[in-house]
Amino acid sequence: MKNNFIKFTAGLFYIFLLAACSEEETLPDTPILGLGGDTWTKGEIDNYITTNFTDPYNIEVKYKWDPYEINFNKNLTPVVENKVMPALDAVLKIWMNPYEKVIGKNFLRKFSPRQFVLVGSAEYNSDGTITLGQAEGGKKITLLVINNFDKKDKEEVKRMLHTIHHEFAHILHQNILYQREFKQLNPEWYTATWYNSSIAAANTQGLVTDYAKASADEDFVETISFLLVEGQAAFNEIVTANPGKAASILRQKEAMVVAYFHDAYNIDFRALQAETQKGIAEITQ
Amino acid sequence: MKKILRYILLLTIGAACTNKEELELEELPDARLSAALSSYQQKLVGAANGWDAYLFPKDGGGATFHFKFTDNNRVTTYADINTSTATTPMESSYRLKATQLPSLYFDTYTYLHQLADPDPEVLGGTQGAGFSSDFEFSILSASEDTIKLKGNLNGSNMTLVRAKEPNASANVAKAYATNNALQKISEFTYYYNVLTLGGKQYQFTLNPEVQSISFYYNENGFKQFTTKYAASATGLILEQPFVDGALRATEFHDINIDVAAKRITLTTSTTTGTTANVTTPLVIDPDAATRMYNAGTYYYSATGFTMAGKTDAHNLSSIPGFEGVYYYPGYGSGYDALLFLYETNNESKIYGPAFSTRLGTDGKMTFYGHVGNFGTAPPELHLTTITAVRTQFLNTNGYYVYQTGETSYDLVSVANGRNWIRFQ
Repeated sequence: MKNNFIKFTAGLFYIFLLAACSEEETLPDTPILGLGGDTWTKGEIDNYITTNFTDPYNIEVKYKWDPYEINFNKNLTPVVENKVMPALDAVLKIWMNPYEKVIGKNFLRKFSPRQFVLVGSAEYNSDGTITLGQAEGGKKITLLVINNFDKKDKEEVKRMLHTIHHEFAHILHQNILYQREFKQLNPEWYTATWYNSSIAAANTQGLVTDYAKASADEDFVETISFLLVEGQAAFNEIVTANPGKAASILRQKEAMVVAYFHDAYNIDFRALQAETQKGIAEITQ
Repeated sequence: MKKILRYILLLTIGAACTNKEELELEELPDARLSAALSSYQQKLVGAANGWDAYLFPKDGGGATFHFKFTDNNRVTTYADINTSTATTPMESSYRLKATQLPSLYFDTYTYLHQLADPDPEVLGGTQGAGFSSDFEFSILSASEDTIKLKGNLNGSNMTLVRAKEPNASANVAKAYATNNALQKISEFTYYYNVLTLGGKQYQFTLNPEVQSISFYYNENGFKQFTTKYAASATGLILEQPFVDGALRATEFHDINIDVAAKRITLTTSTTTGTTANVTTPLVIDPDAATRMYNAGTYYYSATGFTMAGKTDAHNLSSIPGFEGVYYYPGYGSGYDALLFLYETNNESKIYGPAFSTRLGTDGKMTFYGHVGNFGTAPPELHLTTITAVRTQFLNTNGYYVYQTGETSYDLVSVANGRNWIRFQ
């Protein structure tokens, strides 16, 4: 018993000794290198971003290469500097301004992603497809192929803005889920190998694009993005070209999208559509 | 015993306490890293005439650049990619970053990124990878005049050399001219060039298409040394030095290509070498044919045969939309193919003969047993061109094969050293 007591006190003693030792250390006051992010001499682009994105909306735009923001095992390239401001201008006019006009600045401040990451090239996947954009948990949107951006090229502008509206719609439905019935409209066509289907084939099945076949979520956001960016006329054309079941499914999707925007966010989808089209016309004029 | 142990433990703990080590502030990792980065920054910016850079992308030849760094994260670039990039500067940004090793990032697009661009429309290479080049480099070493870099993604090597001349950006245009001059070697009558350098003879090949330099020689059997080169203002910089006995070549300068005399003269360090254009090989690679056939890939030539110094001797470029000829081992089950690729109405078509390949123990590669052509034939007029190439390719004497790069091979007619085809 006594022996045990000695052992116990000796044990405590060691612990105190060790503790005493560690108290002697002082923390180094050297700042940790790179803490708080990279810095560089600010230029025209940096100021543009601060004025138009960071100050009003608390959005960070990363246009300089940062391998930790992207798929680090893929061959990608950074952006060409003279493409950054035109591309961001299109983002402002075709995505942000329409939402702001229809529902107000606070909506964007609340739901917009906190970070845009710009990449010059596309990301090439092993299945032969290329990735044009990515959204991560409502926090970050990565926009690829910025180097091909040309505001005079209407198709290219639409392609990029289609990506943004697509990714932003993901954020919206991740906050408030869309109608359950949407998933039951054409579940038979959802497939991981969506890229084996052509756009025309997808249209005949009641989907706006081939990528809409990837899943119900993608279908929903593709429908939104298509209606906003390609426009109602283009949507109507698909409906007319694919009469019967496909047309009826497409019309139901359209109605659900309009209802979703109204019920979930109190947004007039038709007004949003008109503003988006106006933005595209303004940028590509 | 236990007691003794306990005392020893107590003593050591006590000793550890009293023997306190104060780390000097400069020795802390963050402080050292910070110092290293600012010293690199000073080096980069401090070169008043900028830096000449030699880049060896993982899947490409060599490329030459000239960089001028400023202390506000800007860099001006020239590149020997084409006439425009060699003479028109492009400004972009760079930064130094503390990663596993201190790294130099070229963080917005400039000529350097064209080699790494995954879109083959930009400069070529493989879809999704380009030439597997880099624009984000770890700094391996930095002396006053030389900075050695290694790509963080693909491991491409790049060396920066401090430029001495005041208008060193012109070095890139000179390098571009050097590259073009090397094309003239294929105008020599025979394929074989024997280089006498440092008292020894080497069969010598410069392949401007993949930017490689090869030495073939006998020394207890066949020996080969191949490395990539980048052009410099005065000659060539080798990625790996060629070492043979007392000879150690890291560069070649004063390169003179005399087409009339069919002779190349070049100097490494202070040793000058001269080539002779000869009819027969100095050495034969006994295994290259087997390596080439069994590599599990196919081979491309943009111009087909070179005959007696005439590139595209069969005038393949006269086929409308012609894009190249492919040798495809094992194209179908039991046969190999020579495919002529051409574009018509925006569609790619292939046409060509099917045959077999024989790999001789003497290093010869022979194509035989033509069983007919397949694919979509181009207009009648051009069939004769294709037949002529096929007849040459299926010459019964076969070819000697020399490897000039990881997946590039030269095939030289055994019957006639004037006729050869360069595949990559």
